[in-house]
Amino acid sequence: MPIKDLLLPEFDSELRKTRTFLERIPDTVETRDFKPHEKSMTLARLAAHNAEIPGYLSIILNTPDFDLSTSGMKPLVMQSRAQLLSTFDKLSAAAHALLEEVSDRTMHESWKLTDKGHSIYDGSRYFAVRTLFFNHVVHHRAQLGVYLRLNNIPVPATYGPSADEQ
Amino acid sequence: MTIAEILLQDYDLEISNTRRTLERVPEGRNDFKCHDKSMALGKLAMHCATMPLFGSYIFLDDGMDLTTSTRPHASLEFVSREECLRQLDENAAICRKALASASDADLSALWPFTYGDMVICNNSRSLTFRQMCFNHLVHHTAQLGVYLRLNDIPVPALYGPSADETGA
Repeated sequence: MPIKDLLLPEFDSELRKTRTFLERIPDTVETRDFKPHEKSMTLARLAAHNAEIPGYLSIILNTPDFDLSTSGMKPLVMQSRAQLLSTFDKLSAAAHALLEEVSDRTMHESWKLTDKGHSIYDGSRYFAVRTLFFNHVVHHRAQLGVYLRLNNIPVPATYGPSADEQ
Repeated sequence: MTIAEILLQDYDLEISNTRRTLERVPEGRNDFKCHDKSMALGKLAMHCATMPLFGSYIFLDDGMDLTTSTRPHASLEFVSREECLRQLDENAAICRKALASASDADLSALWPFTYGDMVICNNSRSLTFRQMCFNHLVHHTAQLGVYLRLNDIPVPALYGPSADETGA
């Protein structure tokens, strides 16, 4: 089975879940700076990070290597819930299209992520897709769920019922 | 490359992420919750430690009906950090072995997961494993990281630096 056929249903299912979380992000100035702890990311940053992660998949699939220091890539800044959803939808659609076309050979090739000459990742493209995209998506979405809960917003059921929903 | 080989590639890394998080769980704070509706810390830690055992059933059984399953319910009582880690290690090894032994035909077959007449999901074994066990584990490990933070315990760096550690 081609690797992409294994990944596409998971991509669709996981990103559908992320979208449900983003749809619940409160859109008020006061809640944007909410953080559960002084060392934690703000709600606005965490939500924007969830919205931008699909772009990472496109980078991994579309480049031979990626240098953060020269890429000019800036973190997404939340302006509104609608803006986050719109960016998320665009990035997800682009990533999905690339994933549909990717060959096993491309997945097995090596891919590198560096920052100012320091190696952050050096391994197969497939492993990068798993750890820097898929597992990363699940990780930050789960954190966002805690932020929703702490703001008394019903948490979507994700892998089973939440305390709010079946 | 077989489906099992593909699925195993990030298995050890994610189990070690969960282990590094569980190694920080404090003893004596089992009842801590960040919200009335949230899971208590001890239970959340044990949910992570026992998740791979459920994962092994996906490979070993032909499906699961929660109303009639004869698989034992793992206890979610957090007795000690050492015991919690022992369970993770044991369960992760059982799950790894079951996954490694699964053929492409096994992993492509549907695995109905039901609660009586209610269908929870009915996808291939490989997708069921990724969602109901593996991503589910990543999900709860991340929540556990927030619980550590709220208890002023340094959060391990997992997918990049945490506010406490670079992971280098």
